[in-house]
Amino acid sequence: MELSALPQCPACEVETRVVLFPAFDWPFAEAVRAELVVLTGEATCFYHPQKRAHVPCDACGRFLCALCDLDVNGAHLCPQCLETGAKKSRLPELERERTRWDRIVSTLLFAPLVLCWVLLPLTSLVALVVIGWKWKAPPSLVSNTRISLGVYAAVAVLQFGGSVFMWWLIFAGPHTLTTTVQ
Amino acid sequence: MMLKKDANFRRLKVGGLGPLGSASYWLAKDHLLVVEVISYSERYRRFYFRDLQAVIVQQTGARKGWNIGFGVALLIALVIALVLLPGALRGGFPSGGDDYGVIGIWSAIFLVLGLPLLVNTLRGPTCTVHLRTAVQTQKLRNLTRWRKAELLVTELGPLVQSAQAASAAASVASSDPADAATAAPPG
Repeated sequence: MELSALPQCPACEVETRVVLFPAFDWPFAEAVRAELVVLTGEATCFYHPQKRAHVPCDACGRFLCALCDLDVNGAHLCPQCLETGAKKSRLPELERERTRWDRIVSTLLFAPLVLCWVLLPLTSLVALVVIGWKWKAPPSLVSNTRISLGVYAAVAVLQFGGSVFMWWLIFAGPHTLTTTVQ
Repeated sequence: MMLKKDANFRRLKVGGLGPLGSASYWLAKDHLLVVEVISYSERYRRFYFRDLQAVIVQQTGARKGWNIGFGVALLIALVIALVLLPGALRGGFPSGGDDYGVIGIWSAIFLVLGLPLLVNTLRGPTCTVHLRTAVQTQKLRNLTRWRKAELLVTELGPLVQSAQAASAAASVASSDPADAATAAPPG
């Protein structure tokens, strides 16, 4: 349903287009109530022994009452499996954020060039450590993190070598050798 | 696995770069995935078709504001150019190598001010887009042009309608088997 008859918001008079879907008119789903055990010998919820089992968990197989049955994209999960799955990124539906280590590494590599180049040996070394540490971290969904990290590793090695050579030139370079020979 | 290599996802030609990061929009079989890259993290928002209640597109005055800003700057630059280049009014240049440099600088200034004005005008009116579900109304990032918003609505609308029709049918079937039996097609 489209409210094409509403060219302007009546309150702020801004041109507005509202597209409504059938769910807009659906009533709120009633809260699920777990049923109490009536007969002895009935299967009970693993987490609530006084409640009747409604469905087994699709991950661990424990019996769950209607209250503990968590619907995740059609699968029935218990709270513990849901929490474990979310923590270990086994349930992509629940994943809300990933750290972009490639961006962190790029900052470590390129920010000191502008801000504080004397720190280059240290920052490039830290960048190399981060690349090694986070190589197997969950990659980005929209850009190729592994390729970026590979390129940054090469840049970090060059930067580390170059900056160490620069420090050697400054403190113990050819002028020092000349002085020693004299 | 990257989304562009995943056959279950199709990228919508909306979103892009913004002042605080980028956002891309991906259609899966049962949801819209919004990927926002902000500083050092990548955030995912999933809007399931069965949950979407409305798309709200509201025009904003950002295009007008930018156009006024660039237009005024362009006008000021034009006035200054006409004042500082009296030779141009008299039709006396280019008379030497220096004049070409001056013309180059002023051309660059006009280009820097005129090009964004032109692009901003051609991209159409600006807007904000909100998706409403039963529990939240979420503003979509970097979706600021009316034309792109209409593209989103065109792509999203039929998918949401069909998902919700299927969901409604399933709910009728589960609540009243007799109704479902009469509603079911013969055979």
